[in-house]
Amino acid sequence: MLQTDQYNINIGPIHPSTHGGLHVEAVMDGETIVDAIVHVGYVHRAVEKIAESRTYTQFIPYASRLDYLASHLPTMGYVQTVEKMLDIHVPERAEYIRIIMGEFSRIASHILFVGSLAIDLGATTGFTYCMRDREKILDLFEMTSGQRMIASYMRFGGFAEDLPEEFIPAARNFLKNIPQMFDEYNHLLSGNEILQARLKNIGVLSAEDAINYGITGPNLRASGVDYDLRKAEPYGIYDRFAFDVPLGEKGDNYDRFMVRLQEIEQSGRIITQALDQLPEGEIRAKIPRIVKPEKGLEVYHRIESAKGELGYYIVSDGGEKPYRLHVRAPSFINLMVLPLISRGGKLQDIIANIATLDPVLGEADR
Amino acid sequence: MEHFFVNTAHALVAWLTGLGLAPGWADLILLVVQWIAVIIIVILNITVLIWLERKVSGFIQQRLGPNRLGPFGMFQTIADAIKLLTKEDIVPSQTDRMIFKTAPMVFIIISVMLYVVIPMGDGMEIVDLNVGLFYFISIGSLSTIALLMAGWGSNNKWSLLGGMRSVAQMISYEIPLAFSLLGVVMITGSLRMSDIVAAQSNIWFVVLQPIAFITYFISATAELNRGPFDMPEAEQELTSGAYTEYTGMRWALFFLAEYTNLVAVSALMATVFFGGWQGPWLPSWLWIIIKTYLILNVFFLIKWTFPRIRMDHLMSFSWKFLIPVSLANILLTGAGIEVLMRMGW
Amino acid sequence: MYGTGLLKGLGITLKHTFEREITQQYPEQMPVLPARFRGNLQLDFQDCIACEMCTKVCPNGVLSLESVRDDKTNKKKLMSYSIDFQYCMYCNFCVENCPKHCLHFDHNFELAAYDRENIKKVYQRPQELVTDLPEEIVAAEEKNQKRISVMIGALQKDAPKILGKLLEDEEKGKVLAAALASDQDKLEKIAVMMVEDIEKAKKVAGALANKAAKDHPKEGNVVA
Ligand code: SF4
Ligand code: SF4
Repeated sequence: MLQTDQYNINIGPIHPSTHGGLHVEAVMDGETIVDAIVHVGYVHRAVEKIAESRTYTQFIPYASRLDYLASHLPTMGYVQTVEKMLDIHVPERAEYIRIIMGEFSRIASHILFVGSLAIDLGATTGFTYCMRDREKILDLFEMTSGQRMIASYMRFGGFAEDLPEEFIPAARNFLKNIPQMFDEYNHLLSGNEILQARLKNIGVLSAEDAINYGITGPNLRASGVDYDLRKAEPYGIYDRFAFDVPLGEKGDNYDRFMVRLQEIEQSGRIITQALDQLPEGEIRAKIPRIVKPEKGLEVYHRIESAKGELGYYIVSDGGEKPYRLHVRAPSFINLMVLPLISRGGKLQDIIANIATLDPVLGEADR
Repeated sequence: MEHFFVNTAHALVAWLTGLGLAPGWADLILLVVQWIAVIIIVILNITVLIWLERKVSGFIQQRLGPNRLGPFGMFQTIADAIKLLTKEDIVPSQTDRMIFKTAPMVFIIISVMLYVVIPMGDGMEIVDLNVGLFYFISIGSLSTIALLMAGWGSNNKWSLLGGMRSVAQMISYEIPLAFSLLGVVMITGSLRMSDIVAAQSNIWFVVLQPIAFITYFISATAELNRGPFDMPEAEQELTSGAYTEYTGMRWALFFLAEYTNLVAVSALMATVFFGGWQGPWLPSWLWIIIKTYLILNVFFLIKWTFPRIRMDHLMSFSWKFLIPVSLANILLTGAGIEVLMRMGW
Repeated sequence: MYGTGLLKGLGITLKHTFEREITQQYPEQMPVLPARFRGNLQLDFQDCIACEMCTKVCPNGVLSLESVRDDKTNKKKLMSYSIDFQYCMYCNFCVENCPKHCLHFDHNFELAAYDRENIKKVYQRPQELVTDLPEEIVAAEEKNQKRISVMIGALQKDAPKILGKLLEDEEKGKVLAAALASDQDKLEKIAVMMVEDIEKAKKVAGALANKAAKDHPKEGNVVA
């Protein structure tokens, strides 16, 4: 028998396909992965500690910077948590706008997922087409808040400003183009035999393992577990919309890819309904000028972000600033399953695995 | 126009012998001139080609591509070349210096050698070898060594992986490549390029040998390390594979050699399957340029569309699909020739 | 059949090859910005009442201001306002919270600078507004200006001696004086520093002298 040596190879922290500062130490035998060790912390910004030295309001822009690819969703989670603490009721119109912005963020994040998966597999053109489509969503964000990526648009009790006039036609225009966008992705990417060969039956994550590891979001649903917080525990006004929860069967890379593609469609459905039902009226509730929750109040609130279950746990000591703020970051927890699904695969598979787990390192490292 | 280059060459030889030089010496000088011409062609071609690929990939992605320097950004490549030339030449301290430094030179020399047998027009081969096709394949397969040298000499795990991949890939694709050309050789009965071109005066071999053409096209893409088979480089996985540690002009030499190979293989494809320099109205050397560039554009389109294949799929595709198919093609061609001969052709 | 997906993909890219490009050619073709775009933060100096709402609400300590209290009207007067823009998160809190609406974002997004110092924007109280300040402040300011101009004059006349005294080293003073003779700007800056903050002036002058000695070892000697 041929005797081979194992060796370690460092994928990252500076590497074209690690989506930020992720470091995966791969133990390899030839091109086969024997084990993979995930090192995180290269984008650590001490966000949780920063929260303790900022007032409740001042933390809003930092929350947006957790998952910068879908910035409205983490902001929404934080804002809703504090509203829960203070028992603020958000006006109807603001609730609808939150849904619209949140789902647009989810679409933006998933489009970027498709694109970055494409480029990680070597299909550069798929990436540029995705970026082109994502730009249109960012244009919408810029229209509403003046910022493209990290829009600090939400405030406690609602929004800073109402939607501009030109927003609704532009949003409808984008929604109209989703089927065409899908055609393109399906023909260029998901229908492509090379791509299917690289994704199908690779990185299989069984439903049992997924639950044991605490995986959430599209990654969990790709394993066939029907769990979506928007349905299971509707926060905000999600119970008013009709949408499906797309599920995968095997939990391989291809399922994770397809689930996200289908989620774009479902988010489009939600936005269409929200735009149709959008009521007129106030966009911001009356809130005290200085936010001071009662002493000893502890609140946990979770939302379904683009990456999974995003939770905020806040403890108040009665002051202007949170005593402790903890973020349950889905990216961090999802990433921990990487060694399990990569063992026995090839070097090229681990790249695809990282891409389909879709971690955003700003959130994983916090 | 048609015989412009041939006549120039004849005139040069006549002039040199007229000066009292022995005919042998005159031929030698002609050879040197031809070599210089090849190198000039290669370099000029590269500048155009890199520009073209960037433009085409830009259009594919709904971008503009380079458009700042010169008309349509034509001078961008030249600016890049100047940039690369002025860059610091870094040789990492842990490398195997000799191998590290010679690898790019070996690569470029091998790829320029390919041009010797390509007929660039009517009677415009540099050397019309009687084993022209064989020469092309055997020289072409040498470039594996350059990539392996680069991968090994860099003393970097990524580079080594890239180098080893290139060896595995090129050796397995060498076989279908040669087999697919064999069908053509059987029909022509000669390995000489001019004979192959002459045999296509009535009908192109792409019509007679469609299977051979497809297998040749796929294995040529793999031989050239072009996407979707760009295993040795594999930007997204191996950072840059065998080229990771190279900087400045050394790196550019690899790039240059890859494009040189690309043109050579496309020209061979035009010669073997698309009637070579034959074509109506235009001079022969223009025809081969047109055909080559059309084939190049197909290469570009493929590279910029497809994701990269996985290494083991790539290998099994060659051994389990391409080789059997090309063997079957040889069988079919042989049977066809036999039947036609019995029928009295 | 195997391969149809590949061909369809090629069809897509081929189709887009002949479509119109969507690139915006940036410096020539400026982007169309929506009304709410957040570019560069601007202050209307006249309107500001120095209430410090903005500085308190800013999450990242971008804004700071100096003000004086006018004893007669018991109102604050803004002296200077600085925006250290490199730390701005574009959250818009300052704009929303300003009671006088004197902060706003303009549409200029070309904010890159070579130096961190250049990113910082400092608004000084304009000269014509200085006069309506309380008297003693105006007087102090005038006195200060006078001392500075005297110092500049002195430096221009007999730089080596003054600088030597400042550095407590005559040789160094001479070297520095030679180096500064050609650089009026620096000379003036040092003069201002010597009037306002002698310790800082010492440090800066020392550093400059060392640099000058290193750059022109010969030249310095010749002048000496
Ligand atoms: S936009 Fe936000 S970060 Fe920037 S200056 Fe205003 S309050 Fe501070
Ligand atoms: S909030 Fe407005 S008025 Fe008050 S100090 Fe700031 S800029 Fe001036």
